[in-house]
Amino acid sequence: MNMQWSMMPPTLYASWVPMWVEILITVLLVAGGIITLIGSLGLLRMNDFFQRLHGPSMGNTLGSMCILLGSLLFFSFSRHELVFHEVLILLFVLLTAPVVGMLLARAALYRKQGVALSAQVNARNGAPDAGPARSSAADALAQAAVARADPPAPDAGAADSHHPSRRPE
Amino acid sequence: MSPILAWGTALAMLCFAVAMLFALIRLFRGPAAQDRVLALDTMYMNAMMILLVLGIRFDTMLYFEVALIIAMLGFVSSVALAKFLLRGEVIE
Repeated sequence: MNMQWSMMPPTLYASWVPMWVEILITVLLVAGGIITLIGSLGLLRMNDFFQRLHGPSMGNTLGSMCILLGSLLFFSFSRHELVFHEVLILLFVLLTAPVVGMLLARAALYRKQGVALSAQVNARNGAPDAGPARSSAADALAQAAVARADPPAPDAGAADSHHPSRRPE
Repeated sequence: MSPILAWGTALAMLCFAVAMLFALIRLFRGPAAQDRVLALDTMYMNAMMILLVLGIRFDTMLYFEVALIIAMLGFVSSVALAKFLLRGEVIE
């Protein structure tokens, strides 16, 4: 064992773990890499944004689970103690990846609705000055509500603008 | 450590590098801003996993803290960018 160590580069081959653990870690690492690669390929190749959202969120979550499990096995067996550090990143990734995906999906939905609504308001008013760059979905909804109510009741328009889930017409 | 684990870490890092390249292409080519935010999210996750694999390969636990900091800051930046796309400002 020591002879084998002395013939190898010191930074790469410093510690020893059993053979079946090495095979298990290698399988986990390669599986995590391939799953992440498939997720990024989905990010590159899909057509719509809402299709593109699926690949990286699921691929990154499962890939990082595999990698962190392999890292936990390696450090636990090479240090001869139970290493719990990787569980921290694992829990963090499991908690935060759906939050990021849901926020991005909601932002994309609001942006799509806001662009459609401001185009509708521009077509109705005949004034193309209100560009979609500034207007968020709430602004476009307030404009649509004000444009819809012919005798302008500002309280009703303001109350309408607090319902962002309302569909245009 | 046998050459099995060395080859496994090399293959995993190659997969992550190619995945980062795909995300970079999507970052440059994305039609909307949310595509670019999603590509940035994928890139920091891949960087975190590359650091974890490097920690296995170099046999040090120093890279673990770097990976934890990358995960936390990446999550905060992704949430801030999504909030900016949603509302037009980050802190209202």
